Amino acid sequence: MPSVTPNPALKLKPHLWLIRAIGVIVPRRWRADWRQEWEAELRYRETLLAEWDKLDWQTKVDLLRRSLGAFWDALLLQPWRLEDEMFQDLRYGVRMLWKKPGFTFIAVFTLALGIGASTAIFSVVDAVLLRPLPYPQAERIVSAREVDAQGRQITFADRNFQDVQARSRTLAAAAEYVSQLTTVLGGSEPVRLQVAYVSRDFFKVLGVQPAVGRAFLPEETKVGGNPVAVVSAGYWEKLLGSRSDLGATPLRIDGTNYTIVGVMPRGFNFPKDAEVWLPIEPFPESQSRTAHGIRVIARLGEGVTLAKARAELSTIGKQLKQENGKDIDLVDIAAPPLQEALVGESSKTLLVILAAVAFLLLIACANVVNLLLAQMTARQHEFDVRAALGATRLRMARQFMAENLLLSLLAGGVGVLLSFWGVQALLLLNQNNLPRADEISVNLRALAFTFAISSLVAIVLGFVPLLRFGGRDLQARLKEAGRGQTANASSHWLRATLVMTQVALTLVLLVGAGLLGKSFMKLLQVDPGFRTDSAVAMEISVPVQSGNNEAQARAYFYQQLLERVRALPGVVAAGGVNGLPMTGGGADGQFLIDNNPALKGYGEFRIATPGYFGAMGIQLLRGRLLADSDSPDAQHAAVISNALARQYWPNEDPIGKRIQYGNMDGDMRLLRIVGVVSDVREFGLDANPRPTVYAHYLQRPRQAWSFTIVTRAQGDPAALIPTLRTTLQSLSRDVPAEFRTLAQVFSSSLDNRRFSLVLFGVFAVVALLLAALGIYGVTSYAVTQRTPELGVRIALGAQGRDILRLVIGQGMKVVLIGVALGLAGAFALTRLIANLLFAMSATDPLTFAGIAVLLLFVALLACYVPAQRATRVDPMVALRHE
Amino acid sequence: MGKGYLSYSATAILQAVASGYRYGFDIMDITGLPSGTVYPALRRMEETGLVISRWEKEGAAQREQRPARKYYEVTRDGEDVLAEAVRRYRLAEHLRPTTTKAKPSRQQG
Repeated sequence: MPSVTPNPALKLKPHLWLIRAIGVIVPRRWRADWRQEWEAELRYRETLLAEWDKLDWQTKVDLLRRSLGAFWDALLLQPWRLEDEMFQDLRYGVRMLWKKPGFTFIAVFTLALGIGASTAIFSVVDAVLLRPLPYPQAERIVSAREVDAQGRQITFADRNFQDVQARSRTLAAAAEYVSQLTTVLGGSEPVRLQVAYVSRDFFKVLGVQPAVGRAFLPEETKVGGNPVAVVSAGYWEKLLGSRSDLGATPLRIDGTNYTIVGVMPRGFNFPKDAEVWLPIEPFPESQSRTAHGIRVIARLGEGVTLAKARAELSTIGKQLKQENGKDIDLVDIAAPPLQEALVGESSKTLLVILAAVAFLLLIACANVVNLLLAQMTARQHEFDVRAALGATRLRMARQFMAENLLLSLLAGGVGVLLSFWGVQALLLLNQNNLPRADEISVNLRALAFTFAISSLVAIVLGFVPLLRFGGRDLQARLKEAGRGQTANASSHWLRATLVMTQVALTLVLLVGAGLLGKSFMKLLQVDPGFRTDSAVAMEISVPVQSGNNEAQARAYFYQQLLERVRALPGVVAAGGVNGLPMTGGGADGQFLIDNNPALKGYGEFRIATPGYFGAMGIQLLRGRLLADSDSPDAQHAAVISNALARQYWPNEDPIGKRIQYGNMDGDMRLLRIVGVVSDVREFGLDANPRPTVYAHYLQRPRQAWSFTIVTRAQGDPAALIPTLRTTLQSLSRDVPAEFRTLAQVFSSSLDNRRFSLVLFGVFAVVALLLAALGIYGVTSYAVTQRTPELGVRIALGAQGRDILRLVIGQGMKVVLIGVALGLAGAFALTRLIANLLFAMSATDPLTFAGIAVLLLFVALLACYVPAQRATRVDPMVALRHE
Repeated sequence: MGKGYLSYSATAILQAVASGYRYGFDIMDITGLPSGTVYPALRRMEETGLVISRWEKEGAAQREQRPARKYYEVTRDGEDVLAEAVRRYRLAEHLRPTTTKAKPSRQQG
């Protein structure tokens, strides 16, 4: 390489300065040549220009411009640079990790646990909370709700929706929809599916059109229009064989034939689980402004802000209230963005779980850092020799980072595998209650997250040990190494701090798990109001010819079915209802007492058979239950729940009173109250029982298009299922049914709570294990370091007891501080899970105390083992080490 | 991209070198391509053996009190590839510079 001539007038030559600066990033071995090449060209040109008298500012700028290209040149040389030194570091790192398989395995596994759990949780949080809905400009879709006088958000009444749609100027489109489980015939087999009844602009609001065929035409979306249907891709593939002639065979739903005109794109899933969409307009509109159940979505108009639309809807709501007074429930209209409405309460839970998993990751990192510190001390000599041979701190730091990057990447890889299983497990736990569950998967975003976390971990791991070691006197250390003593106060302090942090974080997680667990136990003690054992629920939707007697025909079907079911061997009792508790089903609305518009009431409306209460184990408190004598021509009878009786007739006997519930099914005949039954917790153990009215299924059959037959058995209820199925089929082959035991129904109502509990529990247990390992590791290490000292003590007459006390005392001191910090932290943080708790405070002192004791006990065990080892130190061997 | 494939701008650069424009900045001038394109291309071509680089003789540089410049020459392989590329980019024929730079005298190296 030719020598570089000295550079005289370097100053005031920006183009040359630039080359100097850019040269920094060129790989070291090419740097000198590279610089010379560029400088030579620039200087040569400069000289030429000077010769030609052309060295003015324009040509100077030109020179600068040319030298800018050097940056690009240097940038493209980067791969060689990294390759160079990075590969060396990585090869060395691999060798180091290979030499210590035990350490590598534990470190990788510990980190993988933390990273895997974080990725799994992140996948869920990302799909549910972060990712926008899969519709064009989804942030401009809102879900509209009525707000009642108590401030609760409730579903719409049809007429109110019509008014909103007519009056609004800020919405580009609005649509109403309801969906229910219905039997659908016409495919390869009869199935019970979620069928959605949607209004004209439904697909317009969402911005999605059928992938095959078309949506509804305007003439189909009105009374008397041709019955048409749009189906999901899943249904089309599985039950229609993906046939191209959509209209070949119609679907038969509730006695009407629907011609299929379109197939939605794969993955389209709104409303939840819907597989068939029908126009809602042909169905008779309810005139009531208080019969709820309609859901509404709307798209904001062009250029309209969310705030503006919400303000307008609120105004319309208030207008409607003013115009209709007591005939309307709503006092306002709320319009949260659709994503918010869908996600609802689960966002709080998910964020808390995300925080918990972050704790777990921190604890795992702390463990590995401790492991690394131990490693570092063992390798101190190696580093000092390298430093003596000329390696800079930066170089060694880089080498460290390479090793830790390897560790983290390995851990990240294993973590990704673990996260796949983790996501599966999470879905198994709570698929039904997680909104957007079908969008949850470990995808590219989750992988990018994993990579980011792994890299962050690598950086953290890499710096901490080096910070500790940097800047100490090299000579002194080499001398120390010769003597075999390499521990020092600051190392111990760092490790102690890590253990303290671990203990504190673990305590917080344990307290969280403890609170959730205790809360869950309390919840299980609540009486649901019915017996959950030994009973099977059979959910059916009976397709009948549509017509005036459609509802009656259905009711007679149920009657026949129940007769046959009761005759089966092993059946103790059987009955039916149109909305089983804890399945979220059933209508609610306003009623009038004694047909007096001034006396209004509000309750849940159910259609039941006489045998229902016996089959469910619901107690009769006064009067009588519904009976077979309550025939369609007799006076309409009703049984009410205790809550309703206490609310509206607190000081009188409600038996004999009459209510008008025409609101719900159009039948204005008065219902005479014949009995009061015990409350049932319709909406879960943690919700108060709602006032309920039960009408007789033969007298008021209209609302019973979907029905659940409950059969109480003598022995195992699941054994009855095949017989029940055959019995049903003996009556009709076209009625699919879903079977669940009441125990299963009850259990699924607890899915949400169980989800949080299991997750917290798993994190807490893992954290406890890791913390125990951490404590063990530090204590064990301390014992090793103090072996000479212990040897001296034993030689001077110390007993086993004394040694134990010394070692355990030292270890537990750190733990105690950690526990104190943890208790303070838990006290501050558990308020975040207060809304997940049932009937107890987030600072329940018993739980806090119990967990603290548990942790101290585990810590004691972890200290004990190395302490025992300390008592067996042979003073002769120990002293010889000096 | 194997040894044999040249992009349009790389063809232009290689052709410039073959025509006697051997120094980086001269190539930039004659092809009109910016330094951010020319230099990376030269490095790539050197790596794949289409050109080789040499430093000019010390004497000339020292006299003018500047560092020795680096110049590039086309190799046999490079000539083959260039001929192939010129065939492919028929327009390249027309891009051949009308003035061929005089080969450097012995004094300049």
